[in-house]
Amino acid sequence: MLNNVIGVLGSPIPPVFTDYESIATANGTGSSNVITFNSIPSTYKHLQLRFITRGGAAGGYPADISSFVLNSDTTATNYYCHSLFGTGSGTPSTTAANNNYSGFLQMAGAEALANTYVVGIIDFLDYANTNKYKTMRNLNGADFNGSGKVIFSSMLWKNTNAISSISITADPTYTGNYTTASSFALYGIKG
Amino acid sequence: MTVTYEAIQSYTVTGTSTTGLDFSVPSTYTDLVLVSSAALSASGFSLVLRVGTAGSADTGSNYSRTYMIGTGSSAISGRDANSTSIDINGSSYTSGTPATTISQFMNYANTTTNKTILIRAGGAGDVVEAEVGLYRSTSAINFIRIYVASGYIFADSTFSLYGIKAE
Repeated sequence: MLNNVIGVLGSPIPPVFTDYESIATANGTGSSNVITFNSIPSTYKHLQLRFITRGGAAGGYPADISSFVLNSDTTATNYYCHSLFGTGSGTPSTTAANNNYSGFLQMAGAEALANTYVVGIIDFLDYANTNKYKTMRNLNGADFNGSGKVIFSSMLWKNTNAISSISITADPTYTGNYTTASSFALYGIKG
Repeated sequence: MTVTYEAIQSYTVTGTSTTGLDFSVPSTYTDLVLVSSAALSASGFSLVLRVGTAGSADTGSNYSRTYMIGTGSSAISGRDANSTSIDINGSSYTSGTPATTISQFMNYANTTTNKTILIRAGGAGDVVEAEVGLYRSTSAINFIRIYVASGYIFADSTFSLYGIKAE
């Protein structure tokens, strides 16, 4: 793994080597269904969002996402998503959610086992490049010992602005508020 | 500044007798990433994953998984429940031609949730796979074993464990 020296030799502070940095972590509060990252610096090459999540709604879907919005852009036609998912039998299925930010982030769902969360990783590639639309890759899933889903999807935001904010809203009916054990961690990767 | 993505332990296999590798895991990270590049001697067998919370591998029926694979001629989704381990599909049986796996142990030290593991794997000539595994325990994982149920792991196979720390 490549490392960069960001300290200065001879400085009283020893040099630190890091190209993969934690930017911020947002934890569920039990009283909100929204997770937001604002003021994302443009100084990295890529971003990675790593999450573990579950909603508090009884009998519902632990991670049904109703909204995934970048830079507060609510222009539906700017969002495209194609997913491949396996549900444990048969042939993996595919789905497309185009022209909306409601199904933009496909998540595993179906509350079927207590204390069991959906986990996932979203890569925002070249997120600060102002000459191209933004492509993201999502891998997430949950297994509930007899049910579950694994999802692999590609997402496109048709906007050349650098991504400076990410807002993820859980479905208030099926998911409810994020539990306090839910956590979204944003990392920056230098290139 | 805290080092966020840190190498914990790494193995390079030598000889023809290695059937598995153990990792003792500190609780100081948020997630773990286990990366392997490995070939196996016995056709039809895959790498297998077990974890533990008491310094050794849990051999109980506390594992399950949901997966989807592409074989080159078909796409399949499957599931195992109440298993004694998590199989990782996607193997290579030719020395010098490894299959690769990346296993992400999300929030492995959390003492509230069961442990979910995201896996991507693939071996040329075998399958490509995306998988989600579950270890039903709310205790913190402090041990990982990756092994093969038959045969051995070829020399020059590598296994590296990393820790990721959120701030």
